[in-house]
Amino acid sequence: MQKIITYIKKFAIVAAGVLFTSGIVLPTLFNTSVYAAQMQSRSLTISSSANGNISTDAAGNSVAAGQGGNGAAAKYRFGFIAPGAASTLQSIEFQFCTSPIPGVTCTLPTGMSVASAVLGTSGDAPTGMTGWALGTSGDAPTDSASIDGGTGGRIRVTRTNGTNVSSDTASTITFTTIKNPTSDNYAFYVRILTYTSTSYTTQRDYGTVASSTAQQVDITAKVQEKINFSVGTTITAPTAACTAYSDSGALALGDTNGILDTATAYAAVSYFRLNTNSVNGAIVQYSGETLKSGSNSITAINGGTETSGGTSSTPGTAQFGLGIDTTDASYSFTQLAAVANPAYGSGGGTITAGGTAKFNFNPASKTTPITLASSSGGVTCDTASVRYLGNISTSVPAGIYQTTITYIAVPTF
Amino acid sequence: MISDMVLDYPRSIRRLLLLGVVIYFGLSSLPNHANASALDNRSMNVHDTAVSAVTQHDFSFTMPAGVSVGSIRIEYCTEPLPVLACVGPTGLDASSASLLSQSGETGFTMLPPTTNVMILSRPPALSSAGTAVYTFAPVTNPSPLNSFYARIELFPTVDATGPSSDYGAVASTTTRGVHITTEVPPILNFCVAVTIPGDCSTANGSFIELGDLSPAQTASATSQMLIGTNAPFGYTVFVAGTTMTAGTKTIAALGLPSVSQKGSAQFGLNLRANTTPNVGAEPSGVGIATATPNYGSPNHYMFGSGDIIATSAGSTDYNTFTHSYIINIPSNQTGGIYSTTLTYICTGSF
Repeated sequence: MQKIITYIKKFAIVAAGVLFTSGIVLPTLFNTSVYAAQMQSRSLTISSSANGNISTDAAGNSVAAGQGGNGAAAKYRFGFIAPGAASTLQSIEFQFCTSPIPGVTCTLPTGMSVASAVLGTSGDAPTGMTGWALGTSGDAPTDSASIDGGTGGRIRVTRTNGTNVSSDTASTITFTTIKNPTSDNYAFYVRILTYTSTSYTTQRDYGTVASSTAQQVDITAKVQEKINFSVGTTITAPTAACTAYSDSGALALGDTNGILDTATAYAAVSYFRLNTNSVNGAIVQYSGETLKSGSNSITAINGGTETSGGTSSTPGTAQFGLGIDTTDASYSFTQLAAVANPAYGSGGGTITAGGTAKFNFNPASKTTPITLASSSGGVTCDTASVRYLGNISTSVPAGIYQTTITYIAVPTF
Repeated sequence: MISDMVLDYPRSIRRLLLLGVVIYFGLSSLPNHANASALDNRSMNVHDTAVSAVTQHDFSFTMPAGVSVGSIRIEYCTEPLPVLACVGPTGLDASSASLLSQSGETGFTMLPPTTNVMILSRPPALSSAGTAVYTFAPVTNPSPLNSFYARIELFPTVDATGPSSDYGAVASTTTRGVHITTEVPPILNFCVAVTIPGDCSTANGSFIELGDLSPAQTASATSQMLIGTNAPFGYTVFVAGTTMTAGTKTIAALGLPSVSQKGSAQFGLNLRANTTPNVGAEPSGVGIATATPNYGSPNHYMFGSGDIIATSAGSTDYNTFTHSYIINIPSNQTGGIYSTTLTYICTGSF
């Protein structure tokens, strides 16, 4: 008896389950599409997965509607194959819901809005089945349509076309200016229902597509102010890395023993190399005194007065000057340019009496640096060859003469 | 178990509070210029870029218009990016710096600087657009040979506290100087010839032919010498030799400066332009050397072997001296071929 009672209980439970499933769940699931065919190859391509609050990039720049960084005005392109059948297809309804299942209460995804949707034209015009027009009046796009007992977004399109869609027809329909849900990484669904009539009655096909917003990846990179400036006296190739000079900067001026002579002019060369990303240009200055030995000195060329064209060498006369030698093999100005007046770019040429090389030197540079070269923008890797002239007269006392010329790069960022 | 959890609440609360404090102070210590605008046309001009040089630093930038500016902070760092904590460059020292000048946006005084921070302060006021320049000294450059940076920020507050309104970094670098060395040797450029039209390379001739002497005619001739030296104590030129001689016979030399007298036995010279006879030339050149008095009087001649004929008080550029020789003979002068070789000796005093 107990077993019988147990069987009866089990039977009752199973029967109740079957009844519940067949009477409630199944009708709910297939309520609106029980007679409809499911469309194949359904897709929804959205122009942006950014959430609907985003219409600017990481730097705050506006992103145009329909572009990847604009979730506030996105483009939705639906693709599907309308099944071939002996019936027309004259209206379509797109339902925007948090659930994909037709018959289940439709709720508009949080923050989403389709009310401003516009049917695509030109390159976004419908393909396959054509002739669609956006619903108007009560069929206009809305965020508050009553759908399956809930309130969801809805876009309707219709066309008047009495021809049966008798074969499978791949089609696309695109809408613009749809606002995505306003949460990141948020899945949402669009139920697509087709009808044989122009009035969204007599359902023909159905299908659901899914999409999702996604967290954007904001990539930020910083480029810091940069200056690589070096000075040397030993020839060093710049290479691709704009290698800096690293020698001691020692430079002997004179014959092989570093000795000047009243009858012969001597010259020596040092180098500077600049690389900077200064957008507003850069200048290179020199600062220093003429050659000195205790209280004695070798007079700066032309008495230390700069001239527009520079001054030639005059052996037998005390002269110390400098100029950029554009003929030197190491010289490589691309962005920098030597100052032309007073001439600091004419150090190349002969240094015999009245020679073609021209020099200037301003001893006041010791306290007020003198600009030697400049650029209007950044400098990739420019190398200057600075040529120094040394001449003496018999009135220059014997001694070891020295000076230190400091080069200063001033970039303006 | 429940009891244990209850007992843990105070510890959890304490941890939570501690975490909150850490987060608060951590965030508040970050640079507060996330929304600052960028300063344009900014530069740092270091007057002497040698390592550890004590020098002047000039800062220039375009002051934005209409910004409330109460202070400007200049902070030296090893990195320019504001998101990185500022580390002062090694060796850099701005703690003694003072504001030398200000232009453009003015009215600032300098708050006491630290090793790597200088703050200009004024009562907050709206800024005017234009180039602002501020110069500071003395600032000791970093000691390594490397790039270094300064971060410039504008604040509405008078003491550079709170969020900055504008920000920009500038870069500079220490460099090696070019050390030029040369040697000027002791120089004594000296040459003697019959003629020296230019420098010593143009010296020409060593033989003077006076022809036949006559009691009625003063014989004269010239030679030249060119001298320049960097001897700091100058030079002296001696003449050495004999008077005109023919075997054992001589023409008497003038032992004192004397005028030329035809018919007398005279041999002498000087270094001047003369009219009696018309011979010689004035010393030329930009040097400072002069003829000695005994040999520097026009129309007066003498000769003494070993006499100093010209001197320079110090180093001197070139001078060209012309030796003017005269020879007079009496009517009873013994016949013969008279000659002499004169040697000029220049001694520099270094």
